[in-house]
Amino acid sequence: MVGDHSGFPRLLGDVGGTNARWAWQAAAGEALTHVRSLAAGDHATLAESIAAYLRQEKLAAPRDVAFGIATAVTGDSVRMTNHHWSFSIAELQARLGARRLRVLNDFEALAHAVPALGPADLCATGGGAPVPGAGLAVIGPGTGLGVSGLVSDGHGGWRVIVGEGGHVTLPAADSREASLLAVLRERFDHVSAERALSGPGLVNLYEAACVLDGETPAPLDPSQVMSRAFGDDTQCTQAVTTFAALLGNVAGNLALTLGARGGVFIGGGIVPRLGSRFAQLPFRERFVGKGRFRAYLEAIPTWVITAESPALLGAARALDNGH
Amino acid sequence: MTTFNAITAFDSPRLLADVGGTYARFTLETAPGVFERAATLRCADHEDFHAAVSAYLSTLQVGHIQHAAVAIANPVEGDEVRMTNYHWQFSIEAMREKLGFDTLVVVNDFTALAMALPRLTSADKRQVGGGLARERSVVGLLGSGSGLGVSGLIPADDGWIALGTEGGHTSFSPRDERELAILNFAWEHLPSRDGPPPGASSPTKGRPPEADLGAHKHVSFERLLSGPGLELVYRALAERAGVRAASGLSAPEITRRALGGTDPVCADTLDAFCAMLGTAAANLAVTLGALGGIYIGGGIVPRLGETFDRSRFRQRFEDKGRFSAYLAQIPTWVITAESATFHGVSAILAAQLRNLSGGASSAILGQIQRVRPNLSPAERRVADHVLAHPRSVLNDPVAEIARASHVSQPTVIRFCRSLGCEGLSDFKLRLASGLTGTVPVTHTQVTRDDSVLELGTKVLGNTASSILQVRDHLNRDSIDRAIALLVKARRVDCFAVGYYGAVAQDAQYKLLRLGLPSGVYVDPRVQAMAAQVLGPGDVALIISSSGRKDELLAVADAARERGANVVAITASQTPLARKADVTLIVDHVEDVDLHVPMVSRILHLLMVDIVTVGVAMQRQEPLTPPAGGAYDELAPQPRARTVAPGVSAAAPLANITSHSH
Repeated sequence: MVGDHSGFPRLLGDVGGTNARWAWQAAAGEALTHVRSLAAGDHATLAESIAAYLRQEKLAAPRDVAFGIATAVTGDSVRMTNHHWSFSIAELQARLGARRLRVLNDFEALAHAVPALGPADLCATGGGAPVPGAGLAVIGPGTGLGVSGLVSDGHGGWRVIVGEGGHVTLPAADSREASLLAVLRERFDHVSAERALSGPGLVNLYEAACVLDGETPAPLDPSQVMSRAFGDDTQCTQAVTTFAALLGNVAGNLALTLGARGGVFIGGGIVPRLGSRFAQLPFRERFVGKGRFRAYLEAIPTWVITAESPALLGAARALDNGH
Repeated sequence: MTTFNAITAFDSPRLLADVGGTYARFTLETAPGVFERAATLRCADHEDFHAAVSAYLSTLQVGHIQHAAVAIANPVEGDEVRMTNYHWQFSIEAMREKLGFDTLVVVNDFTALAMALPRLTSADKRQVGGGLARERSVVGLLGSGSGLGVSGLIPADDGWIALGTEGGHTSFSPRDERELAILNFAWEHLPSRDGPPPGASSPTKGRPPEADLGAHKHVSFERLLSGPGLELVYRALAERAGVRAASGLSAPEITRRALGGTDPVCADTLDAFCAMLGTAAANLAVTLGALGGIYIGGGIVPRLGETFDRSRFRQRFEDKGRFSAYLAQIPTWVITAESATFHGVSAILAAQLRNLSGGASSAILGQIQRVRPNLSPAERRVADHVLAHPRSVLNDPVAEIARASHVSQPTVIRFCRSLGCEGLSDFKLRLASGLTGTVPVTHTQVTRDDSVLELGTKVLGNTASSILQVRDHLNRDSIDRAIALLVKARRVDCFAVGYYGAVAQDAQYKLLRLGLPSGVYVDPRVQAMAAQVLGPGDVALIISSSGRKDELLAVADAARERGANVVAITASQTPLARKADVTLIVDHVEDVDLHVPMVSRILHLLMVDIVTVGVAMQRQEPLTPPAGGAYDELAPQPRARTVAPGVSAAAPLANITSHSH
């Protein structure tokens, strides 16, 4: 069936702020092999990272290439926000000698992966059964707050919706959150959801809680806030709890906006690290707590993506879908 | 477009309606995009929707109305329509019958307005602020009226996908002190739905915060950005200003006083309203990546005129901190055309009627849509091109179709074969040929509220439309080849699993009556054994709706290895279809996880009938009498043999079908 349109072998990638993870797909329908992470700091350019990977794994030149990258992709020129790599898509394609090169925003890649994720890749956090053919939403706190969505095109395919959904204005659901918001506004003026729902956001929430409680904040990084929560540290516990509550609120807004009755998927680096404790936090409660729309949201399943590198799968599926 | 439209008036005018919480607007569409005799009726003056439609039509001298479409300020799902802000409620199907229409389509008014957006000209809208729309990008829509409607359009190959959103119910995000005061006021004064007011349980230090977080109340954007919202914001800001709020001030009155510059609290209210709408519009724009622009409709904003243009709306829209540049490039428009919703309803009705009309071309387009996910990426590009430009494909040579689809010419031919056509000319013939005797049936959903009669009508209608589809897709070549294999077969064994066992037994019964040695196997282990004793000259007839059952695929493999031929009755583009020597295609999608197969089983039975009729006509021997000897006519009519398969089916088939037990 594939005929003269074999785009294999394929090189697939997931390029983040600190690591570039690469994988190989030899033929249609085959599993990904040669999965390897390379530190971004070890290579001056993205093309060099790819060359090093192919050399180390003793692989020939790929025919098709696709990767997700943690930055906005709006034209030929791509620049990473968090480090020095920048490149032209057309030049990279010429240099690789690839027949096709798809460069996707990382949450665009993640959205492509979502319909293919199985029970082993997901951890359910409540809700009913997905409505077949309905939209899906993806939200992921990590270095920033990534947001994307998928809508069915009615012919069995999907369209990815990708914008800058992490930059919606942060809502407040009770007077404590309203006070936290007031503290954050003094610092940032516009307080986007990302200011609270990300690694740096966790620290922001911790520091704002300290201001409200008249405590002096300790210089903590996001992992320290997470590890001190659930112990004696009131403000760290507050920060993580508020984080989950706000994530529930913003994810509920996203589900309403996209009509995502097929489910909401939580990606990004932070939530999976909270592990089973996430279930005890008020995420789901806030997700459904939208007055008249409680029943609508109660029916929507929410999942935490636990798969190791779903963006690699998403890159492969973006090539399969041809867009 | 315009000149074309002007000369193609509809046979009968189409009735379009736009039903809001207070008013129902009606118009007649006499030709595409031509609206006449518009009228506005107060909902409160009419007992129900039927009475309002009748009142409108009674003022006009029009003949029979065949098709109608209604936009309604409510979510529309299933057959039952219930208005949240008003007491009208009805079943769409019952209303259609009562009004005597052939078609009645009911859609959400914001879905309709969204579908109108690509058709709006610069005369229908007014830009507020800067920005430039990117072509073929996502567009968003907000409309503030009795509620806050939100919608979005996603570009797809052949048009737009309307997003089914409830974005008006997202949680309000306060941006400044004034808005925080409004939020606090709303927490205190809105009826509690989600627990006690949040202020009631301020956390004390050291107490687990979870206890506090449970007690919150949801304040959506709709609570503030709507007519009732304006009234709430007015009261909040009067309290904040320390002045006495005028009691019972309505939204239109607040707007009037604000525009007149006579009341500072009303002016403050409108100022806050425009700013908060800016926040909501920007939230929608970043969430959807709406680089195609954001449209503002609804009852409130278009009446504000240039005051809205000078308001804080656009400034707030662009005020997203680090992402201000992203928003500055996105244009915002106010929809000024009164008839915008009608344009959208009209487009949805036209699309619905195109789907309903049983033309052969639309049938094959439907088939392309169904098989599209299973095509190779290259063939899918041809499919997309055909779906987008069916008329030009009809006239284009293969080289042009290949060029326009960005594929090679052999790929175009492969695409045609994937659809069961012999080649491009055969494909074009099916695309072009009309279908005679169209029946106005389509696939409709059976719902829990259906009466027994409706239920029967829907089940019959669904089955009839599916049978017509199979008729349109009959591939004469594969039927001929299947008949040829069966006629010279030494033995025909029928294989199926589950519900399709009944179809296999039916096939066996007919084959035995035709004097063909035949067995039927429905148990996978026995199937495996039976396949191992097949040999050259034998035929395995495999019946499977999905074409993906492992056990049946194994039977196909075993049969072919042993030199037998495989005839499959299954869906196109499936593993079983690829393994078979001849495939009789039945493409019917049924959700077998939820329901027992109904329509597909009947289509499979029909396929069995078609080939057995063909076999009966070609075989010289008379029918074998059944064990009971309960029939008397032995030989098929010699005349029937000369007729093409499927045409004079009744005569020879009568021998088989008229003697049931």
